[in-house]
Amino acid sequence: MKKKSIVRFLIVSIAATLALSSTVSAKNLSYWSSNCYDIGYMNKSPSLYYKKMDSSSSFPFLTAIQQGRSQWNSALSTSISNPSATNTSAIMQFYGGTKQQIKSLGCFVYVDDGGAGATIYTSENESAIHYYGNQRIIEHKIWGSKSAVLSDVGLSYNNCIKTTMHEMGHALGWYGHASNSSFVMYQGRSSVTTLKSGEKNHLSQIYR
Amino acid sequence: MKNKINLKIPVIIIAVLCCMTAIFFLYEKNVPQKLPQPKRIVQHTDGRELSLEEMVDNATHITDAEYIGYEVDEYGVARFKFKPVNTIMGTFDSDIIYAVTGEKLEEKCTEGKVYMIFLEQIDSVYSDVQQYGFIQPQKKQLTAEDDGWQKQHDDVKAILESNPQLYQNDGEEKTFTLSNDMDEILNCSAHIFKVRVDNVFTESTIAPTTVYECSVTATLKSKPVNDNGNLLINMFNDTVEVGKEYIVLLSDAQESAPVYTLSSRNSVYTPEEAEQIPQLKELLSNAEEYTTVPDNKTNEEILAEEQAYIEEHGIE
Repeated sequence: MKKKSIVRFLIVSIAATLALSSTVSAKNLSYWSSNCYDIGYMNKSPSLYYKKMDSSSSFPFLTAIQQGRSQWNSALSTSISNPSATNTSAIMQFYGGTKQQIKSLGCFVYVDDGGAGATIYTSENESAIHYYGNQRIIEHKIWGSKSAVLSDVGLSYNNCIKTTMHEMGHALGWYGHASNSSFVMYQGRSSVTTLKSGEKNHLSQIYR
Repeated sequence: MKNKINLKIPVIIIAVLCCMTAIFFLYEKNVPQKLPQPKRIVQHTDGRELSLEEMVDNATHITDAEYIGYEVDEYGVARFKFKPVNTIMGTFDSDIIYAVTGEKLEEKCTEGKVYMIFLEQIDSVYSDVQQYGFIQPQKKQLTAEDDGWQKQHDDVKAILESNPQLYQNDGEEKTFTLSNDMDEILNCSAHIFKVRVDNVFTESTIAPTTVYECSVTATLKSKPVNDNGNLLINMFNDTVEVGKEYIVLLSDAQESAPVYTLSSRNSVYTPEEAEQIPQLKELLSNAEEYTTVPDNKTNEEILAEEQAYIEEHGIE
């Protein structure tokens, strides 16, 4: 009788342990705004390096970085560091320059004439599986990113702010694009410069 | 009594093992200890949709081509393979075209199907393979079964015929050489400088290259296009050391603040090596000293410049 109850106890504890280990890391996500079923996160205090390669004052690159940093920090409760022009080992790196300058860096896969910005993960790995309804979502831990914003593709002031914030969103883990054209994370040229709750919620649920 | 003792021990061992397994499982899932490189590079690109005229303008090559799959190179960059079946603009040296894009093109193209594709030839001294940039990968790629197929061909034909001279060339002339012959390399080198390597500017994770911040200490051929002599030079990894001087042979750089690229795969020499090469030795003997002016603006100064511009010109 005692043997039986011990065996029962063992089976239950093993099953409970396995169930617990998978449910603790898997989340049921409440929001989804992307056309891609991946999402990522960086540490909560990412260091930020920037280089304004096109030094023209008509290219508001640093202004845009500061605006993006402020809005994303507020949305995700992160502390993206003050942009540094010397910390080349920063986890988040931003380059602002002409198409030719960005192309010559050799850090980005091809961007065509319509391109305004690009972000590449220099190091990342799959870290967990979550669910949005029945949809399986792959979570990625991002260890490093490089982003580019182009200065000579006819971007207006607001286009430049939007593009920089958009790339910062990707760097922070926003995979894919939003289908809502009023979102900063929409793919395409726009003058939207304020993050909407839908796109903030999308990423902040992973940063909690 | 004996039985009780015998059972307790395995129960404790199993319980401890369960806990350790759970902890290990959670730890591995949530706190990876290594910094792995990605299996496949992910690049998000933001930009606008190009019109057909702009796509043709951007392209060096237009062709109907069969998609035959993709391969991922050692840096994680996907190269999409196409077999041209009807070339509309440009000429190809090979039966297989390697097209690159940060987008997941395999989700839009089906192996064995023929697509009308617009490509820009990518010439790089740092790449072993002739690659082409894939224009507008975010768009739906048209096949012969699609309604717009014939119309798109007719429209492209009309654009090409409207300005035949513009579309006759096969891309720009290469600004580098793959030759090892020094005379050939010198011929391709618009700039030859003695530089001091000051810092790493950025390391590429998709190519075997690093961009360095350098200061010009002497000019052997032409002057830097920017006035102050602070150069960014893209070089092969592990070919230079920070703090040391080198003779660098560079391609033509026409912008005011360019990233200079090498004129060949053998365009970086120590001063001692350069002295052993007759052509470089002669250039060194006539070299002019050059003083680089440091350019270190603070964040506050840059922001003030940008704000002043906005105040003067307003925002759109």
